[in-house]
Amino acid sequence: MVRSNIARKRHHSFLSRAGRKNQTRSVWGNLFIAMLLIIVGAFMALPLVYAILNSFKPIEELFVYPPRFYVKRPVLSNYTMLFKLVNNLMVPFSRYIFNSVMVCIVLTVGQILIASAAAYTVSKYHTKLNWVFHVVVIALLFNGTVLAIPQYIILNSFRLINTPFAYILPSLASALGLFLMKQFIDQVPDALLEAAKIDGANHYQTFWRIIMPSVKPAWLTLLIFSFQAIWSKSGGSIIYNEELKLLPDAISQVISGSLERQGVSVAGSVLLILPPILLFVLSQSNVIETMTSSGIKE
Amino acid sequence: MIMTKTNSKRILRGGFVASTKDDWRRNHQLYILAAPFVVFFSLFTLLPILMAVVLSFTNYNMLEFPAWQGIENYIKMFFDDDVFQMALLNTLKIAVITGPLSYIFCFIMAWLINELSPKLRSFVTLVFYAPALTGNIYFIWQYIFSGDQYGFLNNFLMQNGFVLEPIQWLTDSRYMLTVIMIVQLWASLGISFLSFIAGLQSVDVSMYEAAAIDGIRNRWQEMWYITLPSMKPQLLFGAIMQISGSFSVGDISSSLVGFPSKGYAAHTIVLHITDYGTIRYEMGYACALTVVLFLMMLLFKSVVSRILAKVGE
Amino acid sequence: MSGSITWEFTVSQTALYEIDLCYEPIKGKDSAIDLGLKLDGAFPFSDAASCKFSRVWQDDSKEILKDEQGNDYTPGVSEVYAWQTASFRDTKGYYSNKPYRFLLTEGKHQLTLICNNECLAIESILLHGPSETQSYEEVYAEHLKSGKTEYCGDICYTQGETPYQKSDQTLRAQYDRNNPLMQPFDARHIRYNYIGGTLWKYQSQWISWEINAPEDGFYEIGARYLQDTVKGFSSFRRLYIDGKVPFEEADCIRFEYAEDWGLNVFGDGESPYLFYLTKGSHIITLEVVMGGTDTVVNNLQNTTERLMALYRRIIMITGTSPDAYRDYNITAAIPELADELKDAARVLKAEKSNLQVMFNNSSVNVTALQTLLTQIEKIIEDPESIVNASRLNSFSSNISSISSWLMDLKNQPLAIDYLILKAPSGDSPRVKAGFFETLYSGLIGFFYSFVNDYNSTSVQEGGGETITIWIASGRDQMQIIKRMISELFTPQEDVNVNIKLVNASLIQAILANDGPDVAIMVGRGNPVNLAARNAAVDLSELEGFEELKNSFIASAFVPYEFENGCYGIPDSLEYHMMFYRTDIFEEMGLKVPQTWEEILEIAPILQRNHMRIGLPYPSADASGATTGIGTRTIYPTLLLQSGIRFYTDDLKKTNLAAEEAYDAFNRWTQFYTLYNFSQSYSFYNLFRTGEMPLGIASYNMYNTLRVASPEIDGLWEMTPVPGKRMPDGTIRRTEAANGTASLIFKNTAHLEASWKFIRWWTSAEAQTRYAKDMEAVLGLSGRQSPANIEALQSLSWTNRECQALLEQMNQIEEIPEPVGGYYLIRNIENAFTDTVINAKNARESLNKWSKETDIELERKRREFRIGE
Repeated sequence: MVRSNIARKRHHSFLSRAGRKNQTRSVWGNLFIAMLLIIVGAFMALPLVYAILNSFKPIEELFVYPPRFYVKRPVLSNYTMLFKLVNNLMVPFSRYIFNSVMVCIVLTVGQILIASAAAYTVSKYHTKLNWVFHVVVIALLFNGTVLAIPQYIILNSFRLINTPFAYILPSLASALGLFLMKQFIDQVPDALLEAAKIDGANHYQTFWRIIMPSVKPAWLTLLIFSFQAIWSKSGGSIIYNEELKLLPDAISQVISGSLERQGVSVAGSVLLILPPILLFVLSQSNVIETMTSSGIKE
Repeated sequence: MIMTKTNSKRILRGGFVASTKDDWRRNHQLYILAAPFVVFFSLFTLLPILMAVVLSFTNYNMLEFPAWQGIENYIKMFFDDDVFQMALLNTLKIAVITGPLSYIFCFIMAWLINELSPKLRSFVTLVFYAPALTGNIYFIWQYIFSGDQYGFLNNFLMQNGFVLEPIQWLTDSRYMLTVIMIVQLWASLGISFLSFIAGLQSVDVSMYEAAAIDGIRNRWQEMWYITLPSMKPQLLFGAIMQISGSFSVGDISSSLVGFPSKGYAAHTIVLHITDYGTIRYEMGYACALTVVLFLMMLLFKSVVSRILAKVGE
Repeated sequence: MSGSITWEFTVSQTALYEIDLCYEPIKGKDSAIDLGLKLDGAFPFSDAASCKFSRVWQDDSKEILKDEQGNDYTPGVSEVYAWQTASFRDTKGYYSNKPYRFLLTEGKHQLTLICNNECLAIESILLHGPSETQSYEEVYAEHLKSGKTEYCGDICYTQGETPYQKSDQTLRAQYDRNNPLMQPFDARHIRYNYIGGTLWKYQSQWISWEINAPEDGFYEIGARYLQDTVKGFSSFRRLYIDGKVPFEEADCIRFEYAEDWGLNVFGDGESPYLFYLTKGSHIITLEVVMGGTDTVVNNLQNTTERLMALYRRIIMITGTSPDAYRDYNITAAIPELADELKDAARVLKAEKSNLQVMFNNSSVNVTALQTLLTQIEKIIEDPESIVNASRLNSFSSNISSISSWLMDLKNQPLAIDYLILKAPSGDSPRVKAGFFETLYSGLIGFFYSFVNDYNSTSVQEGGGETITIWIASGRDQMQIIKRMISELFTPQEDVNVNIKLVNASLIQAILANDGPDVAIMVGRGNPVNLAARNAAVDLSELEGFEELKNSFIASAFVPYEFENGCYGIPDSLEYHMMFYRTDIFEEMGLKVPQTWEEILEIAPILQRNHMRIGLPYPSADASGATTGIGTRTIYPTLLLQSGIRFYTDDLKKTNLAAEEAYDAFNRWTQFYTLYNFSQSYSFYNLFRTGEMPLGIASYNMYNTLRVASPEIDGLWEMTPVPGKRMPDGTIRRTEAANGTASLIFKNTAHLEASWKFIRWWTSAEAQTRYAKDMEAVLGLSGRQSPANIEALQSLSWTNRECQALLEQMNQIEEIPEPVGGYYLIRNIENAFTDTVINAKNARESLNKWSKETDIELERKRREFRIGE
């Protein structure tokens, strides 16, 4: 099989470079880096931690002024109230979860596959579609605010407003995705492709079995980014029917902005952040694995 | 035989029609692979962009049919719109200052994180990516820079006797832009950051060893001669995302200092577009603004690409 | 509505009397009747100034009705007018909800009744000796003696959601879709299956049910209930059978806290009570009472009030950020500091242990008491230590959290699914659903979600036309409106309504293929914007428009007018009122300012005592395009009071070049430049600590203050804003307002039906119902600001508040919203920024920015060919 000809991945461990590292950096250097990371890291994580702490505050603590960082008397009531509220909607809450999950999975997987496939074509081969890459990079620079209305008009003419397609189709061709994947696929050595061709693989097989595994860090990154962007986007202006709405819409509607619902609102936003974070953690550990493709030793 | 770029010329000589048939025969799988992207992209991105460009020459209030106006929008923009000039200036300031800074920041952070062990790496990456994950995050900055005497920064300054009166960070035109730049820097660890991390992971290990043998002595040399050149594609990607990001500062400004900001002191072009597009119902002008913004970004991109090409020399 | 009547009577014996009133309520504002009682010209005690008598409400239908999709919807509620007798008693939970006892000496006396809010008819007033109730033991023994036997038959269920009568209209049937053991339950449809919940929690609210006893005998009475809000505490109810409390212990039936639905068979905690019932139907009533925590709550409330006063005295001396290097010598300045604190500590300690005994556990909430106690003890040891910014801050926030908690304690939420009559020692029904049961019904519900139609409110088969309306607000609003429509509008007018909760811009509404017909609660600038672009219907040409105008203040339609047409009907209206702390003003001997000059007079006095005055000014805010200029700052008020308007009459230009405009602007900016008023602040926080005892804010602040600052309840007032003294001596308090409206889209195919809907929606009936329901669901913070005058009056404002609101409302002069008007908002604020923050010349700033506005107005007029 094609794979057997390729060298195994080489694991990159902290230790394997330890010896070399000690030659070029002192303990102070290490300490300095550690301090820097801790300080900047704390700063970065501040809002997230604050939001999580807030979600456990009872209502009167949420209104304390000036705002307090820590929680004096943590309670779970914001979450339980949230569950009660969402469970007593007309549409069962499970449906909203289903809607969001389905759209996210379809869109994320779709984006990755479609962008990677196109990137493969554009990166490695000279075809009539070479212009695609350049146009895509240019399209990335075009600010999206004014595109909303033309997109709406196009969706409308296909009568797709108020269907799940309205949400999926416009974002399916991710310019960002194509760009990212192409940059990584560029780095896959041509020799690998030659070897595959020799072994009798067609393009589909080469794409799926050679290219995709080789650029795993890339599409994992894309996965994290796309999923999070899609998960938190609300379909507010293109989907109106209750049962088609997505999770962020459902939760934000429950929080009607009155004082009573402040605590619930924070709990809701924390819960919404969880899936992207989870996905992030899971896939980051995979990004760690290095892919080496120059296994063809002379 | 693989149709790589190197041996395509032979096919082109065969004439166009023949080459198309030929092309299809040889490459039909590739076309099919790329087809979904091309179709959806053309329909939902390319077509709207073209529509927007056409609209930029019209007067369109979204409820009635657009009325052709020629280049009047552009004339107004450059000669008659004070706010645009202010926005232009602000946008350029932000782009030129925070763009490179956050780019370098992204890279340095990615590089430092790369040094850590795998488990620690994922945790730290999560911590650094947290602002991008958290959704509406500006409230904490609102609190820090609040113009109230209880705002964090004001409180600190007043307690320690640096100032007597609370400073209106978010409404005083002297400070607004700086505040926004700080927050933008903070929020800029986005996909560029992630792609650098992924890119650093993809650098071939054997090259480091070869370089060590070749006489590379310290980390800086290693970075300049080996790491960076290997990462050129990711560097370009990161650069373009940063350009796009720093020219598109809008949300930060409106969440912190209001929309529109007092005296337009923190108005950016994107906000100007939003203003005309969604509040004033003047979509034609908004499209014209977008086109101009786009051309600016294109200019920056070519400058940056040229610089990046020199990396590693 | 108001007024008083006096009677003379003679007493034969000096004793304690209870006073009963036989009355019949008269249709009014639907709130409980509030009377004041004076004996011999004076209130015998302060609580006698406000005694409440409840009304009686009944559902229009004994059954819950089903709509076209098979979902339940509730019938309407109507008041029952009948004679009833009730005593003057404690309805607020201060004194165990028992009747008041009045000491009357032998001889002639006068009794005066003062009407505080509603009308009623009085048949007679009865004085009698205090009533006694026997204990359970005695009653039970008596029944046993006459040889009565126990019931032994099946359990009889009475559904909670169909009560016989109730004391408030807000006590409506609700649904819980999660628990499959609710009665009734359907995984697919909505079934209303319980009553009460978080709405049935205020003192002295009651609900009655009609039960049917199959035979004579002893029964156990129980209920499937849910009390999951007040953690660690129980809710109490008083049980009446056929209008009488059967025995003393039935005074406080305890419903313990639990996370899930449970069964409560009324008992003393160990064995259930046996009630003797004759065969036939009886009425069971449950009334909200304090159940024994009243003394604790009273004491704690007194203590927190005194501590709050102490806090204010301290900050009057030190300010809230005391100088760390200065010696304030608090003990000398406030000599009674130590004693007050010791007293407070004593009370806190005592009540804490009382609570722990009563509720048998150390629940989370007692921690708040402990925290404050610890802090006070520390201060007693070292009084000067309180003079520290963070300690002062935590002191005041501790007090506040206790007040909020006390308010929670008073609330006794309870939800009842069904009542049961069962045989003593017989089987109890199963009340807790198993895990798989719940999961299974959840799955069914999920699958049905692909089939059900959740959007329409059609109630009959094959009804009339269907219109679609869009609302851009929250879930609670939408569900309430949906319910209102299906109960009141659709049956009446035979028009079905699809409601969609959409946060899209109205532009998309018009571009969409199945766009809406009507949009309600639309922001201020929108109707005119749409009108200019030919997208809204001119409502002034429709039939019935002229009559509609009478329901609103004179200038209410101005913001929605465009070129002699009117494109929006106001549904909400909010405006500024002035709020002040009565206790602080009393302490300092200040008069409430009536004019702007008087404000400037008292400002320095307050500032010397580290206090401030608040004027509205928006800090970092979202786009002002849709909120209108009226309530963003105080400038419109100042301008309008000078007698001029923002725009010239033809709306072509602004009037800001006028001398009065400059004068008003100057006065406005001087508040900040010369008098150092704060620009950004959190009003309600500062108001409650007393740092900002006077402020002008939207009258919705009232709700915020009532809900989030219970510790200052009764210590503040809402009154009209200061004005300008006119040559004839009156004070002109003109101001502008802010609000939302409803409109009809031009491309609607159902003009007639849409107009019917808007007329109904903006009517007093609908607006009142909407506001009341919102308040019922969300509590006080949900109180709305209807534009309909009658609706505003019918909300449960007291007479005094209502008067103040109406007085101000009648002086509102709305500002027009010409196309391009949003520019005015931002330019005025730009001018303000230039003058106050960037220290530029006021006149120049105003001129510069008003010119900008004029240019924009001109541009827009050309663009839309206005006036051609």
